[in-house]
Amino acid sequence: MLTFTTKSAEETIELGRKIGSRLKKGDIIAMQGTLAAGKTTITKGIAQALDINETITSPTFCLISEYSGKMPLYHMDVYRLEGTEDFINLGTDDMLYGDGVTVIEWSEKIMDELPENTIILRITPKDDGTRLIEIDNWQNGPVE
Amino acid sequence: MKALCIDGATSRMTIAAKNDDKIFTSIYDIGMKQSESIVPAIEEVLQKVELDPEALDYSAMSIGPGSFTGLRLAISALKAFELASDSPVYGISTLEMYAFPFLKFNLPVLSAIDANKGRFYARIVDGEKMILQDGDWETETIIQSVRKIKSIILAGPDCEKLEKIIKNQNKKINIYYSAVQPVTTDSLFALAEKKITARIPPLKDFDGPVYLRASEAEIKLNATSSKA
Repeated sequence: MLTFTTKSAEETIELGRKIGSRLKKGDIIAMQGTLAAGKTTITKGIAQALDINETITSPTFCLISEYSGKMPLYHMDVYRLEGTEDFINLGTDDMLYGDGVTVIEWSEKIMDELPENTIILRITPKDDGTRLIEIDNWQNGPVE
Repeated sequence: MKALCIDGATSRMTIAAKNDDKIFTSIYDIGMKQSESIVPAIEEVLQKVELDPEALDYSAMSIGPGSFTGLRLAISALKAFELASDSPVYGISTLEMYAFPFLKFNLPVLSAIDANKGRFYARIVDGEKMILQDGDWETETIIQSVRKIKSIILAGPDCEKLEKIIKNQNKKINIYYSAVQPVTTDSLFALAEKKITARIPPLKDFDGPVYLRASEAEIKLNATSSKA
């Protein structure tokens, strides 16, 4: 497992940028963390690494946002879904096994539906305002 | 006959129009961008064969299994034509569509689409005999279904992957497949017209794509019973 601590939103974005620079087609990041943990913030960095110029916003209401960069970024938020059936019925297989990178916020609800090689990124806010970021199942080389 | 066909089962969408002897086909290998292209693509193929949508005798599509979005786009477009010009829509199994060009070789044909997670949407036919009906099958089921077969033709977009899986377990089997994909809409025209000749009814108003996806509960239940 990879472990990082970030002290500000800027540092979280920078870490996202480093992670994003190592991602390849078909990679899926299952994000886990409480409300306002920094899931969308770190996704902003991932998007920058993929040369996406659009502003990344939380997809809580639209469920899935698609961005074009050097490869597509499918940014999902499954907080409002009831479970795996809802997830399947959004047509997410086309994205998960497609030609881009998928980032899923609140992925705890649908882990059963994700492939075994899914990268799990857990963000835990600490009392002092820092963020502990743990990455499991990472097989994309050093994050530096 | 005058017809319009759409195969939206994969990220490689194929659209074709036919005005008796004239056929024009467009292939859009553009992944998730199909929704932006489907309407202008339909307009283009109809114009190229000088076909007025009002004159359509029928339309046809691969009804599934396949891409969630692609199948929905195709059925939405063709149902709109049905509403506007009363042209019936025929749904053809995607797996039947893939197998069709290879049926005259007198060998069993296994048509398949990778369903991921160690599963394939697949069917196996041997002439008129259905060996494995359309379904969302574990690879093990497919391997078992072909274990007594000496030679087989693979069809569909994932032949290479499936060949490796089968060969890994069954070294003796001879496997053949085309390195390039046939034009799927040609098969749709032929299969739809067979249905028309056989007086098989078109899709009903409430019919939709046939995804064949086994539910997570079914997959887990099968996994548990096979471990037991």
